[in-house]
Amino acid sequence: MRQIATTCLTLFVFLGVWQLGVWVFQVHPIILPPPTRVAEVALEERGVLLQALSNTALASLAGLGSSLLLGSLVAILFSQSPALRRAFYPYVVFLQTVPIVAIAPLLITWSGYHWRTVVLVSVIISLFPIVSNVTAGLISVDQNLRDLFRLNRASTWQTLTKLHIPFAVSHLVLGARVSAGLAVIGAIVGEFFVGSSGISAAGLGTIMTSWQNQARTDALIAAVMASTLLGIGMLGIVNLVGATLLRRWTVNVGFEGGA
Amino acid sequence: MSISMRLYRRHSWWLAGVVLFGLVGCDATPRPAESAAGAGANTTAGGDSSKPEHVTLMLNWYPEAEHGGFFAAKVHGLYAQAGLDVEIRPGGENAPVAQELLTGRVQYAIGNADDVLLFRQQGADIVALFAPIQHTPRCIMVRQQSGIDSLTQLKGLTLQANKGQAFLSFMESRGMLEGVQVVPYSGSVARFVADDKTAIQAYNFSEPQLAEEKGVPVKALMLSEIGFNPYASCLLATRSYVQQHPEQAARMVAACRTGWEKYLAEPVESNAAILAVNPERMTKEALAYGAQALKTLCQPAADETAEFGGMSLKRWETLVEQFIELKLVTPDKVTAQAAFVTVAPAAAAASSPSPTQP
Repeated sequence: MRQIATTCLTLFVFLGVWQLGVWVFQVHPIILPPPTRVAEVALEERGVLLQALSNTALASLAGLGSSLLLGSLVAILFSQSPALRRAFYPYVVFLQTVPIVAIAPLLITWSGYHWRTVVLVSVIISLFPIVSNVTAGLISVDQNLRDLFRLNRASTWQTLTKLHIPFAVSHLVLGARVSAGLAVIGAIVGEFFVGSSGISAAGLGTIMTSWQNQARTDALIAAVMASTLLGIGMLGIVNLVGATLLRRWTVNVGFEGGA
Repeated sequence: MSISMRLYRRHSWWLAGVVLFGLVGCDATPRPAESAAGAGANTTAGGDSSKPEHVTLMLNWYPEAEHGGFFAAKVHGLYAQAGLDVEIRPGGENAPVAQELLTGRVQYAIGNADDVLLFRQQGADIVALFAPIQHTPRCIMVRQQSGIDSLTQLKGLTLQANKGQAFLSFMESRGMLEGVQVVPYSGSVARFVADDKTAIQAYNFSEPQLAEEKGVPVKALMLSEIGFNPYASCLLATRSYVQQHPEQAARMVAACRTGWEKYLAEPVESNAAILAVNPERMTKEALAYGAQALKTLCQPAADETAEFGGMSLKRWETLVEQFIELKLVTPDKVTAQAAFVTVAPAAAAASSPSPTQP
């Protein structure tokens, strides 16, 4: 409760300073509009914003889901074979370090101007934390527990499903928290490059480009706020799933701020 | 804990607030033009002939043939003759022309007539002073082999054009984008060359040449032919700057006018200057081609203002009407009358500029 109160207070202080600053320094709205103006525009354009928000949310969820699946599979492979790990881990690191603005045009050449390309960009950006964290989780099981399984003549499959994977779930959630925000970024960046074929499929990235071309700084900031909210929402979903469905395996994982 | 640490802990919130205040205020304040331009950007009565006034001219895109006349004025010493030391600052994607003008970081900038209306809609009091390119070079570029010769025949193509631009909304309102997949403009002709179902937004003296250099004959479908014809590469400034420096503005416009006339006659040296600041995106041939193609675009229509680069109220009114129809501007915020200003020549020394009537 105290966490929420503090966060709200910080938000109000920030908005207050912003509003006051714009008024005191007579900043032109085309450079930085006051928060009241941003709220006004957000209300006017709420239809467009909500539609775009849901479209980008869909792409982000698809991206995050695919990352979780693909990342976990790769991590399991890595955990079973040190040779594979040594061979392919650098390429996974490459995924994190490559500048997406350089890769996006290539992706479009290969995959075309489709929704799947947006999801692809989202996956590329959000994959690394999953692979990294889950691999670490899978290979760092207590040696005593591993010996216990060996003593009882457990098969590789049994050891994997009953020991390694349950242990790694908490690591997966940690990785998913980072990837949630990255998946949103990936979806929006993807939309910058891929655009949308019809108004109904417009995402936050597309309307941001459109409003920027019209010099509408106030609408642009409203869209940025919407994307921030989306990121927070995705993070919330990950935390929720971690605290409920996966509770049995994440019960020892501390959440920041103490909930 | 030391005293200073304790003080910091207690007052860190206020400290953060003050710092934020300062950051917001420092860069965003619309400073009066005098203090912002650096040494020498002041107008003394009658013009100070011993020391040129330093001003910055910001381009709205990477330097290309469409900015040719402004480079010509610099290269051929026309600005210097007018007592101006002009620094030309290249723009690029999403060049923040309005913001730079409003904060006084630049005194003049280049923009198209449609940009001016969009800025004015957002409350920025920016005006056009001079319009060298009388007919918009904006076109849609298609392959010659596609046999398409009108903008109504684009169905089935993938069009690379940036959403939010006025000409696109115009085409959409006329139903020309039915069955057309609109994707963001990649900024190059690479995909156009590779895929025969792609059309791209272009300026008719720029991209077509680049595509033909890569071996693809093209056809440029001009927007001006379907009635959408904003002035292009206009010289812009804030109204307050023009009111404070009417004489300097008049000299600037005169120098630009002569520069453009020079550019259309002898583009070679100016193109070399452009190539020097934009070698990655331009070629010598493309610039030469551009200078040629601009000749027709810069000729004013016979029934309009006879002066090179002049603007007519009728053209602005048509544009404003189109924008109102496209819901890009509202009549209470944007009027044709207020969008442009004709600065009287230095000899007449008008104290406040006024728009001309056709």
